[in-house]
Amino acid sequence: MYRKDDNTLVVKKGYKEGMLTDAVIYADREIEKTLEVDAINQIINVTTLPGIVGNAIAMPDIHKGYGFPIGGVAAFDIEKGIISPGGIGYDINCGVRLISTSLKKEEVDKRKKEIVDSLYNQVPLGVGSEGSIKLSYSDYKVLFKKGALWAVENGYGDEEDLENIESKGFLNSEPSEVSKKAMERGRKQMGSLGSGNHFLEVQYIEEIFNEKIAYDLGFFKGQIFVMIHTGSRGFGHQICSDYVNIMIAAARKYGIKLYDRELACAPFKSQEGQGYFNSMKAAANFAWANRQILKDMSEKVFLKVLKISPQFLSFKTVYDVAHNIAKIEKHNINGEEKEVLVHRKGATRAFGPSDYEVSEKYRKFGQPVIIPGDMGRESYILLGQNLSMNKSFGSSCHGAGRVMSRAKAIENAKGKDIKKELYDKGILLMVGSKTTIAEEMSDAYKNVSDVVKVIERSGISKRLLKLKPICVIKG
Amino acid sequence: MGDYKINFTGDLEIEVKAINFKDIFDTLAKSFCDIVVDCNYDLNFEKELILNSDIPGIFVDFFNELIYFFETEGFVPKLVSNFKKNENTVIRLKGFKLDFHKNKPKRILKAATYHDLKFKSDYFFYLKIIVDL
Repeated sequence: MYRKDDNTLVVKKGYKEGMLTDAVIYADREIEKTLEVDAINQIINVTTLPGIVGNAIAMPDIHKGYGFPIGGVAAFDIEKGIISPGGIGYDINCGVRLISTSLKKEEVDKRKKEIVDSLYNQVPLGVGSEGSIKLSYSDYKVLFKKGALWAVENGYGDEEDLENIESKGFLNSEPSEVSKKAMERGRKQMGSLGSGNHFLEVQYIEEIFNEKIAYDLGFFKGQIFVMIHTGSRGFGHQICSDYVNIMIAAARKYGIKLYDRELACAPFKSQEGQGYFNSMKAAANFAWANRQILKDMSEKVFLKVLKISPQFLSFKTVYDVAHNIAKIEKHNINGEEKEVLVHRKGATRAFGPSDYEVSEKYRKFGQPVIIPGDMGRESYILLGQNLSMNKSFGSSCHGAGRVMSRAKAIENAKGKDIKKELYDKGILLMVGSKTTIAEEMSDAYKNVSDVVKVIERSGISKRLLKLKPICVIKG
Repeated sequence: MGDYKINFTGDLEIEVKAINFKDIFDTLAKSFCDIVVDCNYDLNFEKELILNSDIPGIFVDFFNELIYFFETEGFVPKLVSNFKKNENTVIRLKGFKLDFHKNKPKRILKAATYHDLKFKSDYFFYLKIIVDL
């Protein structure tokens, strides 16, 4: 591995048998110190997959995953390339929704205890949580076709939200490819947050990096936001489990050499490849509908607690991004525009200004890229830049990235009152499970500010806002 | 009788030592129960599982079935009461049902994975399986 520049490391093709291209890791010297050998090996393994186009790319929040590392991006030729569930992850379309309000921090500060309690009680979360909606098989059929629109048509939020969701909150999928087991597992989980690192936070703008753009987009210092991080719940987990087995057999059938069984894959155009792609799209739709419903639930809490009108609250989706997904996108490959299948696992789409996929509101500035930090520190809103198209298939990092095992975090948390430490920083924490507090403590993660700086210096995205939490709800 | 060790890394790592095949599944069921709940309930429910995958993938499939039963029905296995290995592997599980409204489970598991999956048979059987949280 050699350092190409201050923010880029490269593992050249030929370093390991079977590599078809280079592996590129965006990391400065500080981030380099935190890189795990296993994660580096995983991004090297990605370069061996058939039909890879361009380089295999790792973001500065890279850490060990299954098959692909988390923070991994790779594009594949539509005709000759593969699709791999390991390049998307078990939580398909795990992603983040950011919602703006017209409220100022001072207005919410004095009522934040009521708000956090009410959000905690109203939003289904935590282990074993069931959503407020029970899906029938006929609901699923519509959901697969409509994604977030299904939620809007069922009374959750507004059509205006859809404009500001990646892919407008749906990918056209074929319902017959989805297993009954997946549907059964997700049936009672629509409209629920889940557990682990999934969260709902009330945040405020602490810092603005570009006053002009922030003003044009209606953002102001101290403005209150809500951030929701969740995915396709058991529905997506089951689809991934189903297809890892199918893909192990498919890889054997099509003579694909796997350097890691979790990289199990099939040619994209094969029956197995299309079966997974359709099912993955159904799970993506589930996740977008889920975040749409959670947005609506959160709005109702604010309205009830603050006793204000929806017009006054102005609870609007700023943007919603997927960070575990595969999509067909047009990219410039060796000077020629070509459709490729981009896998993003723990990576966020970050298209630059003027891209046709970016909603009209942001086309002048670049797509909003939502980067949550850990529960005690800041989150960032970036704007995608055109350079990202050349450097990372229009992708950015997705978060802070774990640096400490859960066991170590639990050990380090002994004797500490993390809830009190957060309280002293002005953050109210409500958690569904006690172990989550220790496992999700700030020290268990890289500092998201360091990660974001590498992304900005690389020219992939630019910082627009820094957000700080005041209420944190975790599953 | 088998034994198990649970390590929480970024994910969940289960190491099983067992004396025979039935014991591997039995010990995995016990570990599952320990991970998701406090196991102080009467064993009043049974379920049968038929698996036809090869070793070591069968252990991944088995654990994923436990996750599925748990999430969809609240069924928590505590032991394997019957085990037959012919063309297929038939496993009868004994356990209890958890009412999520009354009793909160300790953890939700996404899926058992093939990542770093290890299986050895020597004087005893050894299995390491990683579960995504």
